[in-house]
Amino acid sequence: MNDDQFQDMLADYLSGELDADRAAEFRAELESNEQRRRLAEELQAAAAALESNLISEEQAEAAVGSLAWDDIENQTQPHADPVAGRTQPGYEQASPHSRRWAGVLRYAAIIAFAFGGGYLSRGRETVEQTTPASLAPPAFVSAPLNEEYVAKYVKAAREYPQSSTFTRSLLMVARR
Amino acid sequence: MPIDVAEQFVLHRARVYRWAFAMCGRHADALDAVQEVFLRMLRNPPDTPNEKSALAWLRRVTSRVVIDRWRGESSRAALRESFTPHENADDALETREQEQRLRLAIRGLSQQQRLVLTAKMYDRLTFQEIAEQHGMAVSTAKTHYLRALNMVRTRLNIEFPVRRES
Repeated sequence: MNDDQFQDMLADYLSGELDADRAAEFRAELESNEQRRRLAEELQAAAAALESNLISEEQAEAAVGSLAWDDIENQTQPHADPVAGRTQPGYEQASPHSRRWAGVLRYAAIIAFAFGGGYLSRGRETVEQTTPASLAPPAFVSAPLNEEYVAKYVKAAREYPQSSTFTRSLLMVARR
Repeated sequence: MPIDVAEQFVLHRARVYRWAFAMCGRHADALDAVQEVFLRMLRNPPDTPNEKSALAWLRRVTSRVVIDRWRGESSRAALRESFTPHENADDALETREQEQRLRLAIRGLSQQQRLVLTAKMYDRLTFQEIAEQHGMAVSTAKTHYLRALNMVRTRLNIEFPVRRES
């Protein structure tokens, strides 16, 4: 018996597919060849080990008893969104990375708004200061107003446009 | 003709569980595998003309699902767990180690070897039937079967002494 024939019969022998005539022939071969006999016995032991690992159909039925078809079918359904009509995920659902950038952008917007607003209001004040009506001295300077003080105050305001009302008044008095 | 997956589930879930359990050896994993197999069948129903080919499909996919799960696990962790000494008596320890070696042996098989072994051991198919269901030659099916057994033999250190002639 060559190796191919032996392998062929060995597979049938181990799986119980060998008929009586071929089984007798195979056993005779095993008796005559110690190495082949050992191989067959060891593979038979391996098959027995695998067999011992099997669980019965009843055990399997009991094990899958808790598994319902609905559980599987439900997994193919998309999850319902609790907020109807919402297409974008909420802030709470956003990733930490997105949330961090949203925070940074929020502070950047606050800072930009503060600087922008300050700048615009500062410009408006300068324009008002250069108009004749806004350059009039405040009421507390003196009463009655005289033309000389008004002219000095206007001159101080034009020379020092950034100065405060108090500074202009001091200049007005100092230049008497 | 489209396959009725719900019917297949009722008919074969226990069988799929047995295959999966033989490969992974843990109830929870085998149960997850059953779910995954039928989920795949539901999402992509196979074009199977008869019951035998449906079974062949299930056998093939079960094997793949279990392999995917193995790949998902940390292999080092699995191996560590496999050989963690047990606190029970020596025989319990031995049994446990034997079972773990068996699982590792099954894990080490090729896809084809695993398919043939499962079909042979669980479904009691003949080599002719296996060859027909999985599209291979009978001799190839026999070769896969013997190689699978040989792998198990090696992993379990099955070695019989040489018989002394008296």
